[in-house]
Amino acid sequence: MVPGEVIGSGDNRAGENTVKVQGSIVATRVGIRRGGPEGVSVIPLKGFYVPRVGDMVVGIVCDVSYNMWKVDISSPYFGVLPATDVFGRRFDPTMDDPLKQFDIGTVLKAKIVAFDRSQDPLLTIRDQDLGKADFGFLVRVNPSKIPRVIGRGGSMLSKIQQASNSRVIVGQNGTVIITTSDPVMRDKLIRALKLIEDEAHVYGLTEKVVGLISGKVEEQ
Amino acid sequence: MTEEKTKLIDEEGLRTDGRKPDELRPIRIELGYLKHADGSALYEQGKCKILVAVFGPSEVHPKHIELPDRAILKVRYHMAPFSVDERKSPAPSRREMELSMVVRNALEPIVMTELFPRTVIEIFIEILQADGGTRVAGLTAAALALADAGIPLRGLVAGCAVGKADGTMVLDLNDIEDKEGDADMPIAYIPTMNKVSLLQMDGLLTRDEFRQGISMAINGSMRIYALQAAALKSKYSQPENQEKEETQ
Amino acid sequence: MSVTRDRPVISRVLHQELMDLLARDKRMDGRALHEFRKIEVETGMLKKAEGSALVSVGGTKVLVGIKVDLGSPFPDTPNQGVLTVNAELLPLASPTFEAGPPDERSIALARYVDRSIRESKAIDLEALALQPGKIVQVLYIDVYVLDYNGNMTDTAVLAAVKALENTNLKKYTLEGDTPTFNGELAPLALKDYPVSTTFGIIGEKFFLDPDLEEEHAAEGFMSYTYTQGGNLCAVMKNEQGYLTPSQILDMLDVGWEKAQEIGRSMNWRKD
Repeated sequence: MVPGEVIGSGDNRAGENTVKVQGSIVATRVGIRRGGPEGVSVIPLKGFYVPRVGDMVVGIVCDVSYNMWKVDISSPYFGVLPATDVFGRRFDPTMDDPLKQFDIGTVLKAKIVAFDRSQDPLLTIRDQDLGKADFGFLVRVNPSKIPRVIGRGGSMLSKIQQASNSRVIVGQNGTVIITTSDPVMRDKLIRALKLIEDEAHVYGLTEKVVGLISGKVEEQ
Repeated sequence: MTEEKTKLIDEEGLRTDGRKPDELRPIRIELGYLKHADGSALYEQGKCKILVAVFGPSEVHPKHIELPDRAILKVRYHMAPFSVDERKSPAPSRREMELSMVVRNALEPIVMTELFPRTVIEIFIEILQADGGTRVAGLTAAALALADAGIPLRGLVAGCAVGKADGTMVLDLNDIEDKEGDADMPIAYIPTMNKVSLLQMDGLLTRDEFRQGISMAINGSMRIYALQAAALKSKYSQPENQEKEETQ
Repeated sequence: MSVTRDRPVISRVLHQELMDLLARDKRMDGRALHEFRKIEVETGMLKKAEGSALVSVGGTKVLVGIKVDLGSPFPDTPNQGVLTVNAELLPLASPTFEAGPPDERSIALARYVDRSIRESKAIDLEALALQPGKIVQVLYIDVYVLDYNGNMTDTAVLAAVKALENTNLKKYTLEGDTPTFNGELAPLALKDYPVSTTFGIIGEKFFLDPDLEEEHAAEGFMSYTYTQGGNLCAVMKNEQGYLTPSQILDMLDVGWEKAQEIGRSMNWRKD
């Protein structure tokens, strides 16, 4: 499908990456048509991340002010992490220095707590498993393929972690942290992620990915 | 000393480059040509060579020009100094300023700017080689680059220029026809919506010739749209991108 | 670089009223769908200019001054005089105009006025070549938008043509290579009188000569310039919207009717 191409009649529900134009539902992005009882949508070939409340994202601190950090979450909007989230409500600007806590370039695992079209996404690192990532290698994956990286009920991700014997942290915004310090394994994981990106809907993908990581199967 | 006027249409009704009056120049499209840009397209139409890069949506600088309810578009139509016969100064000319505006106005209706308030989408159109019809070729390439960037669009826009050469209406003007013909009429058309988003005419046409020109130009735009769609579809039909298309 | 401009905010109530009226082919100031506002023309008021005209269309006022000088021709047109058009959207004309170098709107306006005059062949440029290849007369057409209340385009084209109609050129005698003014003036004889008609577009509806509020509400605009012979010499779709091919052709016909009306009122045609 290309933008403007009719994907369904106006009676259908307009799903993701579609819009109603002159009574029909058309695609808004290049991608594959998905139809079902819930409506018609397009799985995009390329898409950028639009923040959603509740998502866990991996971002990089890109600016610091006296009361907050600006975080690049690879989205049209920068994330905002308020100083109070880290220092508590009683934070004292004369004593608590955000720059000393997280300086520019720090990698953070954060959750989006608020986002609407009138303000930048608000982040928190207060939950379990959130906070500064001290080490690891960042890989960018097409955000629309992230659900496949995680798999149904987390199945793909747990198989990847098992096969590689390392933690892989997946941000909904498409930024993935590979934590293994073994350079060979790291390369395998990078290739595995690319494989998922390219073959997201091919059957037998999980086996192929596990095979790549375990080194049992020659990749193409 | 007056020079003899160039014959634009010969005895067989063919044009200076051998084309029939309603024939398009050969078109070549390459998507994702620039790795750094969010979307890009290298577009060739006859001897025109145009490179378009798209960035965004991203934060707006300076902040005060952002709009609260939609993304703004920043469009730059620019001709490289070496793109024309006589070197052109790299500084933006009045023509480039007008054409930047006219191209932006033609793209605004198709980009779903309301989805990304307070952001900017930047579109840079560089004419590397000019040979007539550059504003609409640039616009056609920009639509490709926007789709390549994954920016949601209501539809694709495709354009071409018609003109009048030696009394005959001709489609897809080349440089000589543009310079020595009697009219230059660029048009941009959104086939899926049956809407025109760019139209200019410079020259002298009877009202009937204008009507004929509109019809010819729309037909030409539809043929170019087919090439755009094919180029975008072939990008996700690559073997490594094989996805099973699921229908109801 | 062209950047999306912020549109002036118009109240929902006003917008709704405008849309309701349009649906019934009516307009807020009581005009018919394709009726020009009151047009007033004054010529020759600028004593230091070779030609001048002040035209009002409704509340929009445009002043055009013509200055003529001697200069060299362009290398690719050695036998022709030079025509150059510049437009200024003065800050005093509208809160949306800023002082400074010409922005895209003033450039687009100037270029449209230029095309309207040049392509209509209203001016015999060859008659302006005093010494072909060396010395020609240069016509400077300066368009000054004094008060902006919608439809600068038609007002500017009309003012430019009236100013040219009003222009007197110096007569020169050539002594060797130097032209000298022989004391005589002669009118610049126009060969045609191009008239521009501009329509605002909202959805399926289009309407002639949009006033300020209609311009703010309109999605896009179409301008057509006609010669007195009924040919088109310039066409421009302006601003962001889009329109169907049949709307384009419908406006073409209405525009020609209206251009003839203007031509009659200016005594440019007798039919």
